Amino acid sequence: MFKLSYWHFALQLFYLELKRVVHRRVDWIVGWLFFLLVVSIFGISMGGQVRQLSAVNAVSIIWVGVILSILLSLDKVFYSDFKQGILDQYLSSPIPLSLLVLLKITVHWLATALPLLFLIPLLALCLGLPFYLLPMLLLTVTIGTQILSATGCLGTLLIVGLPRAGMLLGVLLLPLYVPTLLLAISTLIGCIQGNTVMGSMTWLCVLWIFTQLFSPLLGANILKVCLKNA
Amino acid sequence: MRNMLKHCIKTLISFASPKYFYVLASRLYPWMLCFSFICLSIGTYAALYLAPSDFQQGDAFRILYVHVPSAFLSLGIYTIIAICACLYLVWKVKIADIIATCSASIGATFTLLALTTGAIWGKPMWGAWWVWDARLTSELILFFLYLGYLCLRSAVSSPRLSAKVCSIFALMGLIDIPIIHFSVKWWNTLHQGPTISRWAKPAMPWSMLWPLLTMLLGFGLFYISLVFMRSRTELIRRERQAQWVRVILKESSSCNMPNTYGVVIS
Repeated sequence: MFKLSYWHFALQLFYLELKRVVHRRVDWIVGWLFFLLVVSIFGISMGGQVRQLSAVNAVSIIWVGVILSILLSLDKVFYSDFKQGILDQYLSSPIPLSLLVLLKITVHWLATALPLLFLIPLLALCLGLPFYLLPMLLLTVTIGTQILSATGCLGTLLIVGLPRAGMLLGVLLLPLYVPTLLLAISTLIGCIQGNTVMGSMTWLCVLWIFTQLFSPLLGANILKVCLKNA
Repeated sequence: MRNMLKHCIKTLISFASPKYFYVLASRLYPWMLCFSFICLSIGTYAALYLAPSDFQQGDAFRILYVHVPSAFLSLGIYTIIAICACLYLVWKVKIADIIATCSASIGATFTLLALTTGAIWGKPMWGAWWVWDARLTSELILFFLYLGYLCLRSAVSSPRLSAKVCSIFALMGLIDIPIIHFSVKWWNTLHQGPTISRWAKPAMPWSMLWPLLTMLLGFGLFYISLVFMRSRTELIRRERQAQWVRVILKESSSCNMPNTYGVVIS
């Protein structure tokens, strides 16, 4: 009899999801382009006065761009699965749903946030960000985007299949994104002013661990609760 | 002793059933409304005439008597919504969801009131309508959370699904507010510290404090009576198939009362 272990299943599904990302690469490339455009439109709107932009401004522009591009990419995560009835099949299968949610979050992060990390040094250069800030900026973006991805996937799961879910998603998720943004920016401000960054960095890490631990479980529950009598 | 406890719990649980809750709400809300108006009028009079003016802020501080109760209620109502969400998700208490639905728009209004009065107070005191301080930021995000909750309510058409989805969203939002509050608190806070707290002696003289407490009581009772009134209508709308609702509607239509429930009696 054919038996599928969880580990084997996870690997297969991960591979499949990555293949889907590569197959529908235009969807994701649009997100990266959007990030580039948002940040450069800020630069353009400064009207050549980018030199007057303080480091704090530059950092917050980049962070807002990151948040917006992640928000834009979220509606694709579960929608096609829901539309094609794949989510219902997962529900009736013996696979742990938390594993599925975890994989979805990871793949979403790899497809949206990881490329941004390569774009950020370029944009930081354009915005005139001091070079010493770059490692800290990349670190906060790396940790922060993982929180954003996890929270965002939970949010999309909540309203998957609703009409005009895209607009609603922004309204629901932006308030939930504020803590991450605040902690990351306060870490960076501490870094700019030469103060200690340990406090806010620690809390950012706490938030990160918390979301990584609980989002798969919560996501599985949302899937069960919301899809069973949808 | 144990029997009495059991009896008490049984009575409490019985009020969670729609029928008994309806009866309780109908009996209580006129009294609460009356009492809240008495409290509010005494409180307003005392706040405007009896309380002494502040030696730093003069008479401008009197807006506190509206600002503090509405800010307190905006947070309190969100906590109630979150507790109701828990009750609904874990024990499927129907009443909890109805209370949460009815509370959300009231809470949003109180939040807006707190923000507006805060801005009006802030202009002469700090010289700015708005600053990005810990309390203001968290209150603003609270307002957005309320609006998101209301949007979500209206976006999901199936009542059972909307109850579940909104409950989960309310709980996610509950974690959000304290984190925002404490993370802004580290860098810039202009807002004065809490004046009333449970752990310390109040930093306010009694002559200023008692009007505030009266206003708080009045605002709270007003909220409860509003929730009772709205939940009665919501209950009748949702439970229109139930026998007890039909009996009530028949009775009210037989004594020539206008049928204001928007429900067609078959």
